[in-house]
Amino acid sequence: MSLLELKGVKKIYQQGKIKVPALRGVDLIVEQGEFSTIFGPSGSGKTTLLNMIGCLDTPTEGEIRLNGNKVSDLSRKALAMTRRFNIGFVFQSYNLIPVLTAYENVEFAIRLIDHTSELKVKERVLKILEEVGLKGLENRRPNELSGGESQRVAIARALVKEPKLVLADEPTANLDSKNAADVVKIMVKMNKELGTTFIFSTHDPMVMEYAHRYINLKDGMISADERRG
Amino acid sequence: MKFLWNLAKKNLSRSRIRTSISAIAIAVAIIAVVFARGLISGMIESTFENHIHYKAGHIRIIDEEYKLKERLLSLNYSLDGFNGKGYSEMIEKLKSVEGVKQVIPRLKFGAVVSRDDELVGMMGWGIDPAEEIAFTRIDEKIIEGRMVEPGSREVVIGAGLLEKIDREVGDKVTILYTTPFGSFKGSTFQIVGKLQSALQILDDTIFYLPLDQAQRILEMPGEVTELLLITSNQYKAASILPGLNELFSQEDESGKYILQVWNKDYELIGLFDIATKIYNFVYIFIILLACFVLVNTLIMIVNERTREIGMMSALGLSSREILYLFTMEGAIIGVIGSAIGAVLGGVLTKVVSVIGLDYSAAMEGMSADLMFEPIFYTVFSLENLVFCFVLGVFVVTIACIIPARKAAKLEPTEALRQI
Repeated sequence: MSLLELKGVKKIYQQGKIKVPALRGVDLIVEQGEFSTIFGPSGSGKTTLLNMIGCLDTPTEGEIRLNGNKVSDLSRKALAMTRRFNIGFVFQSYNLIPVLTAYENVEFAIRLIDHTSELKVKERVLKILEEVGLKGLENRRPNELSGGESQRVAIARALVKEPKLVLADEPTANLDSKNAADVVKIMVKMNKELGTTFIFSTHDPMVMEYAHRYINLKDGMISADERRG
Repeated sequence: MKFLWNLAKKNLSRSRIRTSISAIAIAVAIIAVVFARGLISGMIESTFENHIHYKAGHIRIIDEEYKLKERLLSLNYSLDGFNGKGYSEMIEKLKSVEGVKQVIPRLKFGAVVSRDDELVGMMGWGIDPAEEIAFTRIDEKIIEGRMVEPGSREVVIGAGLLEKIDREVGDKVTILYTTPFGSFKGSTFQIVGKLQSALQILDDTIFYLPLDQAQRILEMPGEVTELLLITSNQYKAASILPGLNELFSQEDESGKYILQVWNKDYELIGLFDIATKIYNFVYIFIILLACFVLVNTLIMIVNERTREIGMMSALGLSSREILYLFTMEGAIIGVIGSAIGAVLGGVLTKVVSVIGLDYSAAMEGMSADLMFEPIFYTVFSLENLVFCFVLGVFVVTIACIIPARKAAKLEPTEALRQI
């Protein structure tokens, strides 16, 4: 059973009286442990496709299955629960909560799913922060962290709950090349060590270098889907 | 939910000025409500007390016809006991009814005093001085001289009335009056005391004389115009009515007497109940006004944190949890504001309960029949503070649901798109 299956997924946005198709029928299968990139020009539907895969939005037409479960017509609450337990997100602009420390930002994600002891949670949060190279910076707030460090916190937040799937929408777009490379290397490491499936949208050739699969989106349709190695 | 609660607390530190302004707005509203409730309670308590002391007792016994002619101070419908055996025997029998603590006899009549070539109208109250002092503590209001003594031809007169008739304590005064038989007579009394109270009716209209003297000059031996019954709890006065009704059905063949309960048989007191209910809505309205500041702040917060709401949705927070988070943020401000307001309002109420607020200028044109005192004292009570605090937190929390719902209804994709 594939981790993710999309069949004939269409998304049409209504802007006033005009219907704007963002996805025109996407068929896609993603297996557990893949490290894939979605690329394409602006307006090609990358973010819309990630939103559909991430259960942030539902398709106008078509079917999405995550872990064999149909998620394309779930209620708002059921979608939230699916995201909570199965999907991690990394955003271009980090989206950390400014009043929380790095530790607390990561803890926030795990508190949603783990109601076990304080000690276990602490252990898990500190471990993931160490793995993304933030040991010693746990008590810093986002305004005391660099862009690269902030994105590492965001990655730790996405990974701490050990999701099956991590979606990253242009995660290196706001980073310089060194920090971008560091962030991507961390994700590659997590992909290898934890077997977490990563799907990126990116324009960054350096990020694409690390990917196993390249999905090219054009005008809301997959125009190319290649695997490396 | 604990982590959401902790996050809500931390979020309040994002803009301390904004949080403070919102909390201050709530606090000011709660101060106003605590003070208003204390003031209105004070007005009502004072009015009730005066109404009981000078008009109704806890239960008043009068002749049914007297009720209709009371304004004319008619002496033709007096109370002469059960079957005309005199009021003294009636008092003894009333005292034997369970729940009756005290019985106050009064004989009220109209009179005039001549000053130069004009007549000054007044109202005489024939009283049993000992009973009256025990009931109304009228002796504490005598600022000069003393209270009248039974068997003596003496009067105590209000300060305003003394001025009107141009007399002083120690002077003699000839009072003109009409007996129940229509004779117009005059009697001279020694003024032994000057009374000053906060009540216009006592100061400007009434003079006290011993009951026996009033009965003597009016030729009404064994008669009074009313008996006031005092019970141990004014709010449970009606509970002794069955015992009284039984006594009256056994003893009174005429059936001419009626029993008036202080808070049931007087229109004015009923109006207070309605007013109190209306005021409760006014209090809620005052807090709602303050809530506009808070709701506006929260709407700004929701707009500013739209991306963050989108991120939290992406992490898997349900709409209900987002609603909870923002409602808690508002509720914490409500708790802080209400607590500050309740404490400061309590201090203000306590101060005014001692120094009072002088409304005499505003009350100049009001009827002397109204038992309002021109200086209002607030009532300080912990119940008031707790009530206002709880009301504040409740109203604020409900009001916060409006912006919180706005946050909860945001579509995650739209929220994340926000720049």
